[in-house]
Amino acid sequence: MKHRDLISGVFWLAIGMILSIWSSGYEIGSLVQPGPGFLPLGLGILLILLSLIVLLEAKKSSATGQAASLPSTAGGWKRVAYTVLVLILTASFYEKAGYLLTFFLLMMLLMAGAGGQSWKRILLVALFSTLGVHLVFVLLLGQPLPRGILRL
Amino acid sequence: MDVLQHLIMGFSVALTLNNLLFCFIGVFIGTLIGVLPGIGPVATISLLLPVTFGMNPVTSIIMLAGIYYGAQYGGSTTSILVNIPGEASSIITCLDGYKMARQGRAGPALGIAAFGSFIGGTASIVGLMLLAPILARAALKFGPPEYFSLMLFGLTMVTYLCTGSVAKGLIMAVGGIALSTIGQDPVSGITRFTLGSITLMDGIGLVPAAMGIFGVGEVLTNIEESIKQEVFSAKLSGLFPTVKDWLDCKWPIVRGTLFGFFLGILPGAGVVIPTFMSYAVEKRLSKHPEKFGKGAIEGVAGPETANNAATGGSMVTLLSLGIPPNVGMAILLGAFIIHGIQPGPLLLTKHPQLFWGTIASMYIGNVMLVVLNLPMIGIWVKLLKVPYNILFPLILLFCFLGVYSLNNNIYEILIMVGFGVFGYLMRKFGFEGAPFLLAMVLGPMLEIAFRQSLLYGDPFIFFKRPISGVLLVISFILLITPLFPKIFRKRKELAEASKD
Repeated sequence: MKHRDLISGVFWLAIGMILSIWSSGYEIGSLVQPGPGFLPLGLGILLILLSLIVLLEAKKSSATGQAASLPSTAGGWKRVAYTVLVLILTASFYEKAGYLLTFFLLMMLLMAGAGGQSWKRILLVALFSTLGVHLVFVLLLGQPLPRGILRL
Repeated sequence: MDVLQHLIMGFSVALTLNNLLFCFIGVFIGTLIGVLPGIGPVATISLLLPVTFGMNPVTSIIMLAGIYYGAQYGGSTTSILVNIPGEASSIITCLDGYKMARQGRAGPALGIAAFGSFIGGTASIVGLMLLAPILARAALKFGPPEYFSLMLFGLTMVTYLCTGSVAKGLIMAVGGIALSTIGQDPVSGITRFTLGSITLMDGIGLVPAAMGIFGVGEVLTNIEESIKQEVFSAKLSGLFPTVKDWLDCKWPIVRGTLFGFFLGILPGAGVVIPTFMSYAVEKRLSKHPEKFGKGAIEGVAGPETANNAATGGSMVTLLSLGIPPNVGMAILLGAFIIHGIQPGPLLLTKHPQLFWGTIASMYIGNVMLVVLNLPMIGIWVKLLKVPYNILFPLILLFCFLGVYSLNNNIYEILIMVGFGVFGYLMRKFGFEGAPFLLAMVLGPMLEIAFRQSLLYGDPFIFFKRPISGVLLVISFILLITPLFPKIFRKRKELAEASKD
């Protein structure tokens, strides 16, 4: 408990400070004529105060000695990181490659990464889900998806 | 008589072939995603927003609202049969619903959940129909200070009702408002915090944020620990609860309806809290509290009624005040705005077709849902057998597709992924997404109301106007109660009672 509250407390403290400093660059105005920087500055200060409370609570709860529940299996972390990377990668070539190729690849990569399935099944599911998107979203609903190099 | 005339007009709108079809599509998709764990109404409505661009506003609201209340029906199926909540609002149903299934009473559990949902859902539409016009008339007198205090009250409620620490809930709310200040200042028009990015000029979109936190983030949380899905495979027979079941559930259903509806109206309560409240109260009032958690049918009937009744209640606040009381309604507000309609006190007079058409469609939708969820339950049970390894890539694919279609902007996919990571970490660190997203939606409205109020020339204006003052005092009390251990313990007890 203590460990993760410490991390999040420090994180929000930093955000609060950045927000306060950054917003003081905009016109603050006065209490009867607030400018664009007024609310963000107030929010920044609030964040600082609240994160201090979280940090204080973390310090108190360390006495009761609750175990940290943050770490999980290494495999779990890897799966999460892999999925995020696949999403960023496919997003980067979505417009160039077009939706058919991208979606097919996205499904293949995600299912392969999850493991525990035969290649035949992965291929079939990827194929049918891409076709399904084509049928429903493009043919039926007429959504303008990027066509890319395939020009389909 | 007035209401009756309006309602007839509403039905004439809702009963056109096109609107009936989309109402059906809405409740069908609602049930579908309700049954499927890991995808909820918030991500789904966001996904389907772009699809409604070309549609008539009435039709699109009918469909999107259908998804919202339909999801509350589907969620119970998964809770009862798999012991995994299909929706957050069905968490509590797992306790007694799954136990009933193990005792061979899956049928009556599903049956009472569906009937309870129908009763709660329908009664709350009656409430919505009668109460929304009255509230709208009252809200016509609201000025910026009242709106500001009401929104602040909503945010306070949503953080107060968070399960974790109040400070963390407040951080989420403040962070959400702060995030909403990115982009153009709604008053002076100068841009703030954009770092020169064109995508950020209009601010961070609600859809990428919602799909990130509630779609991608949810998936990331789930794939970290591989879900073991064991569908209860006993044969479903006799979906109709016995006479004794009905007698046991009579009052839980009535109380669930009242809890759901009135808590649903309150900004910040959402559809989850009423289910916890209902469960705690039924357990306390029961003559045999020891049966709770071991397959008491009241523990299914009360909460399942409450979550449906809450949908009608939360529509009251959105339609008559223009303020979304929870995240689901926030997304629906986005749909209204995309179609150029501003919900609020004037909605009733400006767009009566939309208001009454939607209400009429909700009556029809609830009937459709009972049919979808009882005779056709077999289909949904089959759906539960789709392994998560296939389901999660599909969810991500839909998020990817939906978020791009909104503005054809590749950066919004990246923003969504970013929020996905944020949502994942947030859950790991014990923060909740609801206050964040609600604050993000309310942010711009809150800022405008705040600054307009101050222009009255008196910083204490918020306390001098009676409605505004009362709301602020209640918010203040809610915020400081955790400081007093005695009251705090009560709140904790309640939370624990509902968890047991």
